[in-house]
Amino acid sequence: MELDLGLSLSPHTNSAKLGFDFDLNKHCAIDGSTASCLDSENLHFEATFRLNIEEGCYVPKPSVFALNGQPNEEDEDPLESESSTVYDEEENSEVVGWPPVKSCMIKYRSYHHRHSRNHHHCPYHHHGRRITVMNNRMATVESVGSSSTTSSRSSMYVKVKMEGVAIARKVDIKLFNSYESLTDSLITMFTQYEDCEREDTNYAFTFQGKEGDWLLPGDFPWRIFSESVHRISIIRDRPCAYTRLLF
Amino acid sequence: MALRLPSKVLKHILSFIDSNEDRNSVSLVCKSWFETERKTRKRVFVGNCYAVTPAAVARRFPEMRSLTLKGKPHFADYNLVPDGWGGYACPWIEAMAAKSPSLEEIRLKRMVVTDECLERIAASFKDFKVLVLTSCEGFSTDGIAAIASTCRNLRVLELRECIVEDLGGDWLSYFPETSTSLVSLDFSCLDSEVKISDLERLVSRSPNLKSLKLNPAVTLDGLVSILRRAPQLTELGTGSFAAELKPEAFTKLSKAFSNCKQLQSLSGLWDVLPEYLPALYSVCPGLTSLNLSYATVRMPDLVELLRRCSKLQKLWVMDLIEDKGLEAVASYCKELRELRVFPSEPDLDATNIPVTEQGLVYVSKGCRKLESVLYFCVQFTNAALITIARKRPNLKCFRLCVIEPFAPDYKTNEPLDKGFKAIAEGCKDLRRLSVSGLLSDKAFKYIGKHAKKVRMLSIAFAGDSDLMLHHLLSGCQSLKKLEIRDCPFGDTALLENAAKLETMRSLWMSSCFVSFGACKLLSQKMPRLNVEVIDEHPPKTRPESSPVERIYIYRTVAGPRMDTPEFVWTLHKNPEIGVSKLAIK
Repeated sequence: MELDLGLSLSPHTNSAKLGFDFDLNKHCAIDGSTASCLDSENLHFEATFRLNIEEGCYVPKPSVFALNGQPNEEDEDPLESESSTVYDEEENSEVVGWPPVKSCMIKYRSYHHRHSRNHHHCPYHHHGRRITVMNNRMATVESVGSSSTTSSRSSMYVKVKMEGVAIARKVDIKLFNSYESLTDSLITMFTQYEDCEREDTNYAFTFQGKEGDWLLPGDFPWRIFSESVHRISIIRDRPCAYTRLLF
Repeated sequence: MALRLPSKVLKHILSFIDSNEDRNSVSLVCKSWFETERKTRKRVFVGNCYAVTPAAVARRFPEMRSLTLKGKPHFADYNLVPDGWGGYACPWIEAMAAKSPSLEEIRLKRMVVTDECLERIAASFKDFKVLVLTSCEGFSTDGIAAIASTCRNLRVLELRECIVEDLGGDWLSYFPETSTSLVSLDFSCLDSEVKISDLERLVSRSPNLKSLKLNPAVTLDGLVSILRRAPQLTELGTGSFAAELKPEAFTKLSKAFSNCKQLQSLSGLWDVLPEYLPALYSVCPGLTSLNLSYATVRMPDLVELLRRCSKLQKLWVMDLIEDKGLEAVASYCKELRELRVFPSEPDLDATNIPVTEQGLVYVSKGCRKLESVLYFCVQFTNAALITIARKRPNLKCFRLCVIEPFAPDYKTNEPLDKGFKAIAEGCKDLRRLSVSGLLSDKAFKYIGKHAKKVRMLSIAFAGDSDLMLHHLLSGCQSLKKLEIRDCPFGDTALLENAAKLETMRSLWMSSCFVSFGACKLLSQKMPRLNVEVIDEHPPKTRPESSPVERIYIYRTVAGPRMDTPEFVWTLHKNPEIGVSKLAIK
């Protein structure tokens, strides 16, 4: 008995639910140009800025294998928009339950990533993978996102700490192309959330590179900087009303 | 005229038969053998808690002293079974409390256990001795406290990889000062700190304590103090091994370990710093089991440790061991029977996994007694599989996880059909097989034909068509559990081989192309199967041809289950679609 079922090329509707299909919204650097998939400033803003509380206060539980498209129940962050499709830093893959590693081990691995002494390179891989099943086992895994040559990452999240603000933020460096656009956006972000006056404050930015030394904007050309920056620190001239409450 | 064996004689003979498989065969001989067997069976194993009712089990085995139950399907370990699916322990505990109050041992795997349930166990079984919960959830440390405080003769309390609501470390203090019977305690999955003085006292008054597995919150100092009080341990799970290294601390630790002259099994070792490994050297020569799956030690520190473990039979390690570490294992650990290599970065995108097929080939060549393998790597070759099969025909369990789905033989670009054919043909005693990588229907033809003793088969991202399922269901004579995900077969093979499903414990399929209509048909035609369609987001209407997300099919004599959540569809729930079994009865 020879069964010859031609496989349908259209993706299985359920595959999408299980994260099989590549979700364009999740990755902004598909073909190198960062602006193409960004509809509006708002989307840009919500997609890139993600609340991240300093380690030690709150450890977000890994939402590695969210079974449905709904926001992880444990993410009780009100600032994160419903449509925010920022990759959870613990989320390693888009395919549920693959590779088949038990959750106790995954929980330990992501814990380890955060606390490992040897951990120096960016854990924030965000490759999208499209797994397409085509006729007769010509299945391929397309690696979406710039893979080989220049950068091995399609986004790179860096912690930003503003003096006087307890909660650090995270920013995707890859979405910017100059120091000015970066600092501008950071100021916008902080003033929006911190309820500060933008105009009458002077902001001093310093950046920490891989080796640990602190640099000023412009010390390095943007490209080199964007590959190696680790942390950003912002110091304000005038603390605003909100931060007084935190002391 | 046939002479009947007097039942006393038969009883005596049966007292020598422990294996439940043999006892099951015995009970099929004739009615009197069935009766004698059931009245003498003490250890009862139920592989699927929904295959039979608790009342029926209690009725059949009045002398039951030990009950082992399994609930959720295996793929629940990888989050493929939504929360609330089922697998509740309560009805079983209730039934046993009423009918089998002499029950002494309960072992549950992948079940939902509540605090009330645990309290019931503590209250109902006067001589309760053993509680082992593996991959269970639904309870808190309060439930554990109830067991600790009430079960006076408790010998074994093991929580293995459970999800426990941790309300603090107080539970440990609930072991009464009079309790001295403890043989094994495993609380490695709990997060909270226990009071070390409570633990010290408990250990000191438990002379029979042989196995102790601490949680990561126990510090190195705590460990030293415990080891001093329990040098007779044969199994130890350490706590966290990552404290700051002080020379005196290191010496104390080494000395404590060297006093444990009977230690055979070592695990835990969370975050172990390589500088601490030499403290373990003294116990290495006696170790038969070493679990380094949480120890982020790299080469060459790993080799320094492993080359001292000449008696090692079981090794669980992360892929940080690299191929060259496995080469060392192959030359030093000649007694090795079981190897598991876990990914340190369980990431679909990880391309720099430091083990390759070569590592497994080394071990297969060097370790003659190797019979059980679980191996994660990025890609494989047919040649490696063929070599492994040739060198190790005694393999009983072979689980290969090529992390990259559809990865072909990276040297020849062919599917891994030939390799798995060699495994199926060569390893005649193979009982468990997990396949991965690029596989065509042919691979399953070989497996169906040759894997005669395989009882459990796991498949993901493989095959081309219905033929693959057809090969498996029409072959694989001993198949009991089949779990498949993301494979492109549809209804035909499933429906044509429906009868096979009654010879199996269960079949799990997810993200395949089986239609709702086929599920309905199967349910209607096969009353002794429970067919569950699991859809986290059930559509408002279900046309016959719509594919379903997940299906779980299992044979049962218990009839349809009554505790299904909303997202599980079974035939009897929808009388307008099919005939309700309940209506007929």
